[in-house]
Amino acid sequence: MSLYKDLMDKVHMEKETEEAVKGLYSQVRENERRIIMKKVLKPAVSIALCLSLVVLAGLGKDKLYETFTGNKAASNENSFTMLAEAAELKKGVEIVAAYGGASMSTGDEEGVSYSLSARFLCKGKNVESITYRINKGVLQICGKRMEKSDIVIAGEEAEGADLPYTGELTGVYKEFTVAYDNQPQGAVRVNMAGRKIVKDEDALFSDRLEAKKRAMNELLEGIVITCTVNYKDGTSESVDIKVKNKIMTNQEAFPEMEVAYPNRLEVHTTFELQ
Amino acid sequence: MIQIDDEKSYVSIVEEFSEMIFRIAYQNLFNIADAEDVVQEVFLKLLKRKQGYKDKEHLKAWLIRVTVNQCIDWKRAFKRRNEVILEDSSFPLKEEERSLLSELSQLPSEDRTVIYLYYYEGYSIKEIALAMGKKQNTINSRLTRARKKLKNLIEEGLL
Repeated sequence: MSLYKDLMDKVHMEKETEEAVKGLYSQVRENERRIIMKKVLKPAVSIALCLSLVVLAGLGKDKLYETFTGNKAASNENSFTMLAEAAELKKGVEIVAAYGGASMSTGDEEGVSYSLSARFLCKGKNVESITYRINKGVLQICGKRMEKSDIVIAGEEAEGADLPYTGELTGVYKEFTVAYDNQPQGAVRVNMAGRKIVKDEDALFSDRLEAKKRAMNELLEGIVITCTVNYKDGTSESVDIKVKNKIMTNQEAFPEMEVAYPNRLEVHTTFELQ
Repeated sequence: MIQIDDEKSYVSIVEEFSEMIFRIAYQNLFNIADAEDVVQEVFLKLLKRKQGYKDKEHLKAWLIRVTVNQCIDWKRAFKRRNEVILEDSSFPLKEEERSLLSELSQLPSEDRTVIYLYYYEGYSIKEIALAMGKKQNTINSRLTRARKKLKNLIEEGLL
C-alpha cells in the first residue's frame, strides 16, 4: 500500500463525533415536528376561536357583537411596510441596491454569476415573523461571526456557497423566516445570487451603457423576492419585490452618500414593489 | 431509490460515508475540528433534503459535492490559511507522512479532492467529473497538473 493510502487511513473522525452525527437524526426530526405542530396549531386556534364565536352567538346577540367587534379591531391593526436600504418600497418607486453586479465565473460552470445586496426591513403592527422567498437563484445571509440560528427561525436551505456574496456568508436559502423582533439589521445583509448564461456577456463588463443594461436585464430577468408577513393572529400578507436595472449617475443612485465619480452614468440595479 | 425515511437507514449512511466526508474535508481544511464540523453540516443538509437518491452512487456523488462546497464555504467564512492549519493536525503521523501532507497542502484544494477520489476511492475520471459537477476534461487536466507537481512522490511509489 502506498504512503498516501497509509496516510489517509490514519485520517479518521473521533468515535464521539460519529455518534453525534448519528444523533442529528432525532434532533432534526424533532425540530421539524415542532415546526409542523406550530403550523397546524395556529389555524386550529383560529378555527376554535371562530367556533366559540358561533357558540356565543347562540347565547346572546349583544355578547356576540362585543366579542366580534373586539376581534375585528385587533385584525384591523395588522399592517406592515417593507423597507429596502431604509426607504419604503412602493409601486413605481425604484430603490437602488446597495450592491448589484455581475462577476465572471471563476470555475468551470457556464454563465455569469450575479450578486445583489440589500438591507430589507419590515415595519408593522402585530407582525410575528417575515418569510423571504426568491423564485430564481438563492438568498444568502451574510453577517460577521454569526450562526444561522442567530437570525433564521425556519428555512429551506439551498446550495450556492460558490456564488459571489458580500460580507461573510452565514447561510444560503431558497426561503427563510426571521422573527419580527430579530430582523437582519446593521452589518447583516441579504444577498440575492445566481448564475445565468447571457448572450452578450462582454457587455456586462463594458462601458456600453445601453448594451450593458440589456445584458443586466437578461441576467436578472424575472427575479422576484416574495416577502410574506406572518401576523400574530395567524393571518399573513405577501408582497413581491421585482428587480430592475436603470441608467443613472452614481449621485442619483445614492443621493445621500459621498460617491466616487458622482456624475458618471452607470447601470444600477433597483428594487420595486410589483 | 434511496430515501432517508427512518433512523436506521440514516445511521447506515453515516457509517458508510462519514469517514469519506471527513477525509475530503480534512484534506481541504487541514484541521480536525473544522473537518468534523463540516461532516455535521453535510449530514444536516442530507437530513433536510427531501428528495431521494437514484442509487448509492448518486447519494455518494451528492455527498462529495456538498462536502466540497461546504469546505469552500467554511474557508470563505473564516479566511483560514492552510499553512497555519497544518500545525493543528494532531494525527500521529510519521515524518514522511507529514512531509507528504505538506506536499499535498501546496496543491489547490480541488486538486487534492481529485487526488483523493482517484487514488484512495478508486474513482474513474468520469465518476469524479460527475461527483464534482465538472467536465471530464477539467478533472483530467487537474489530475495531470497535480501529478506533475507530485512527480517525485509518484516516481518513488508514495502515491
